[in-house]
Amino acid sequence: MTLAVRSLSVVYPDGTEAVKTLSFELGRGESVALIGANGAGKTSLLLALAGVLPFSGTAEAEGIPLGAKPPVGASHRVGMVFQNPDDQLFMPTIFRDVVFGPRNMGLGDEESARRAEETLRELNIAHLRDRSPLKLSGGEKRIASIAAVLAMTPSFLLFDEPTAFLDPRARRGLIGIMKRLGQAKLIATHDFTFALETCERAILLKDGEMFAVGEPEALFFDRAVMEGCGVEEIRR
Amino acid sequence: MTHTSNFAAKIRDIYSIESISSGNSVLHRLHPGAKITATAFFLAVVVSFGRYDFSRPVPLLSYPVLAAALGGVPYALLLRRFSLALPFCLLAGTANLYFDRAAAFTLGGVAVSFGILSLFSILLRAFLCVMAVLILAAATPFTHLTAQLERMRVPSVLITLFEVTYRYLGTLIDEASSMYTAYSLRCGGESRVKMRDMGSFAGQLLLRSFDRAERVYAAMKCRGYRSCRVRQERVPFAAADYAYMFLVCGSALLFRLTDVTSAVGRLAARLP
Repeated sequence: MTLAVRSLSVVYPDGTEAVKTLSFELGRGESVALIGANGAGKTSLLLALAGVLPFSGTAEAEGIPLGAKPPVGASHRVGMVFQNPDDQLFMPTIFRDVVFGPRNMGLGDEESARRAEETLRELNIAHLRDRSPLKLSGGEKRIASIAAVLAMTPSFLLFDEPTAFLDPRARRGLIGIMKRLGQAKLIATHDFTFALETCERAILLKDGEMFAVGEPEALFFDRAVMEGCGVEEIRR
Repeated sequence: MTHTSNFAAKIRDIYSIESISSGNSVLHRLHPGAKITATAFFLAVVVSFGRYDFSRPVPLLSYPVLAAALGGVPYALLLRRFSLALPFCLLAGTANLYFDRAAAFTLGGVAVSFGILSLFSILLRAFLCVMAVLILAAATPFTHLTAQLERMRVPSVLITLFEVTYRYLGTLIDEASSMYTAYSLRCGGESRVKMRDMGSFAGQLLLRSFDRAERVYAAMKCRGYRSCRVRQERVPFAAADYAYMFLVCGSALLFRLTDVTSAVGRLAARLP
C-alpha cells in the first residue's frame, strides 16, 4: 500500500471543518480522482497530505507517517503539483526551479543538476531549461511544475486541478504524461473526462466527507450520485 | 510596449543579476565564503571613511571595475541597478548642501562647501557599496550565498527574511501587473492609477500579495524547503580563494590607511 489515510480531519483556525474523518487507501501505481463541488475539501485534503495544513487522524506513505513535521527523509515521498503553476514556479529559470527540490533534499549540486536534467529530458522539456517561467505557455508551465516535483522522486503524487488553464492540445499532452507516470496519484479535478482517461478509481467528496467511491465509469454517469454530491453528471 | 509587458520586463530585470550568477568565470569559481568575506571587508572599509572624504576612496573604484571584468558582469547592468539607488543617495546628500554651508576650499575662485564634499562622498561611497554587493550577487548563485551565510553563523531568521523577501519581489510585481491590467481595461486605457483608486488598489495589492505569498510558500514547503536546514557539502578554500581575499582586503586596507590620491596628486605636481 502506498498511501493509507485513517480518520483524517482538517479544521481551519476559524473553526471551518474542511475535511471530516476521511479514510481511504491508495495502491502502488494507482490513480484516484478526487471529485467534488467547490469547497468540498479536495484542496484541503491534498494540502494536508503534502504537510502544508495540520490535520488530525493518520496518514502514512509506505508506512511512514505524514504530517506537518514528517520524519527526516519522508517529506519528499509526497509530491504536490499545485493548481496554479505560477504559485509553484518562482525561480528565474526552469532548470533552477527543478533543481530547488533535490537541493532541499540535501543532494549535492552535481547530483541535483543531474536529476533535474534527467527529469527535463524525460518530460521532453529540456529545451525550456534556461527559459524564464514568465515566458512559458500554460501547458509548458504545467509540465515544468510536474518536472519540479518529479525531480524529487516522490512515491506518490498529488495533483490539484491539473487541467486548469490548459487548452485541449496541452490537456492531451498532460494525459499522455499522467499515463506514463508510474507513481500512485491522487488527482483533485472537475474535469471528468480527464479523470475517466487517467484514473482507475474515484472518490466523491461532499462537505468534507466521503460521499461515494468506485470506478469513474460507474459514478460519473450516475445522475443520482453526481447530483447528490453536488456536481453535474456527464452525458454519454 | 504594453503596460503588462512593461511589468513583465521589470520582473525579469529583478532577476537579471541572478540569471548571470551561475556563470563559470574566474570570479564565479571562487569559494562563496571568500567572496562574502572580501565584500564585507570592502564595505567596512568604504563606510569607515569620514563624511568629507571624497578623494581618498576614489582608488577603491578599481575593485568594482576589475571584479566586474573578472566575473563577466556587464557594467551597463550594474549602472542601471545603481540608478535605482541614486535618488535615495541624492536625497540623503542634498540636505547637507543646506545644513553644511561652510566653505571647505576654493576651486578656481569658487568656494566649495563641506556640504558639496559630503554629497559627493555619499554618492561615491554608495556607488562603491552597491557595486560590491551587486558583483557578489552576480558572481554567486543565490543558494550558495545563503548556504554560506548560514555556515558563517548568520542568524537563520535573517537568512530566511533575505530569501523570502527576494523571492516575493517577483510575486508582488506579478500581482500588481494582473491588477493593473484589469484596472486599465476598465478605465478606458488609463496609463496611471487614479489617486481616488490608489488606496483600494494598494490595499488589495497587499492582501493579494499576502495570499499569493502564502501559496508560493506552501509550494516551497512541499518541495522540502525548511528555511536553512539543508546543509550543502562543505568545500574547502583553495589557494585562489585565499589569494582573492588577500588581494581585495589588502588593497582596500592599503587605500584606507594611505592617501593614495594625494600621493598621486603630489607626484603629478612634481612632473615638469
